[in-house]
Amino acid sequence: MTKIFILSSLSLVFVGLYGVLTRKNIVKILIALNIIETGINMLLVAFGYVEGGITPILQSDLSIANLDKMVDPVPQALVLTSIVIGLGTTAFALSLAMRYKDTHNSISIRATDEEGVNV
Amino acid sequence: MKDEKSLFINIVALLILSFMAFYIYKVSIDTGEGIKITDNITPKMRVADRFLKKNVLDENSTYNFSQTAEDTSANIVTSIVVDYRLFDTTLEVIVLFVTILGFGFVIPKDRRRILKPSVILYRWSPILMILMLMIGGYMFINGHLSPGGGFPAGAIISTAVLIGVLAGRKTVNHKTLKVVEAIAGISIFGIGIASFIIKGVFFQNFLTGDKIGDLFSGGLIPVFYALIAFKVAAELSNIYFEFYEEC
Repeated sequence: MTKIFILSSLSLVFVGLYGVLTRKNIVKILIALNIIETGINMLLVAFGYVEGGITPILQSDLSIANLDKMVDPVPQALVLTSIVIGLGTTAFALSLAMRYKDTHNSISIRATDEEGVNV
Repeated sequence: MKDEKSLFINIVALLILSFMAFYIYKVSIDTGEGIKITDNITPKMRVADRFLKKNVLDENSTYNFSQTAEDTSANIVTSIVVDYRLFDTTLEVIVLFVTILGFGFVIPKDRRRILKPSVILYRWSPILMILMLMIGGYMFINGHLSPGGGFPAGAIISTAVLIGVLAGRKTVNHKTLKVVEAIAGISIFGIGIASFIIKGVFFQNFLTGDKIGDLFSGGLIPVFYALIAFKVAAELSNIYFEFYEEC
């Protein structure tokens, strides 16, 4: 089960990296960066996964008896942090892209030789 | 964007990335000597246990349900975010504040047009806003008992504000947002200083002696989550106002 989580999160990371390397549109690059971030969050949660684990919430006496079967809560807390930071940085990067569109009249990262071209 | 769809660049990128992905996958499922990332079946091999060298699961621990062996919440993720690692969370709120501040400086403030909202959105937006505010309030009040908490609650509340902005309704003005944000931010550090005066340690939980699993349990955790929810909601609604209103 852990192998499936790691494979899917790594594939998400590399789909995003492929997008960052090959696209020229700034908005597409930002979307690809968000895909990388999602993959890394999933990878962190997968590292704390336990085979046949239960949620780390103390609900009843049964969950107290199975304390060692709970999944690791520390990576989940760190992922909660990184999601919020990702939202703030994405908003900041989008505002930078708007400013770039204003000055260069294009959202390509190669705007120097095609300035004035509406993309 | 001339060469965005060029075949050669795409093939080279695919080859390099597939090689890297194979290598990282091979390292991460390796169970030999060295770093063992995924061998977490026994509790002693987990991340928290290996790096903190602290084990709360041994047999001498006097932890029982509805006892106060640890004065934390029922949701262990919440007690990590708002109790054990509260410095991390408060500094993260500051990072969010700084990014929103830079966002307000950088965004260009001219040549924006607003589309007129449709009648359906205009009539339905108060009902949706009330439902969303209810769910957001439930999230941060129940954050120490069930999945949820201050950050998702702030996001939900700010989405309610976003629906009001999109529908052209009057929601809240900028000054109220700034005042709410400032009061929430000052209160977080005020409670920290109060716990320093009372207990001697910054950010220590000084409301103890309640049963794990009650609605009012966990001491300061619901208080901190309510403050964080209001701060995040004010900051995120600030983004929507910057995008849609000032033109």
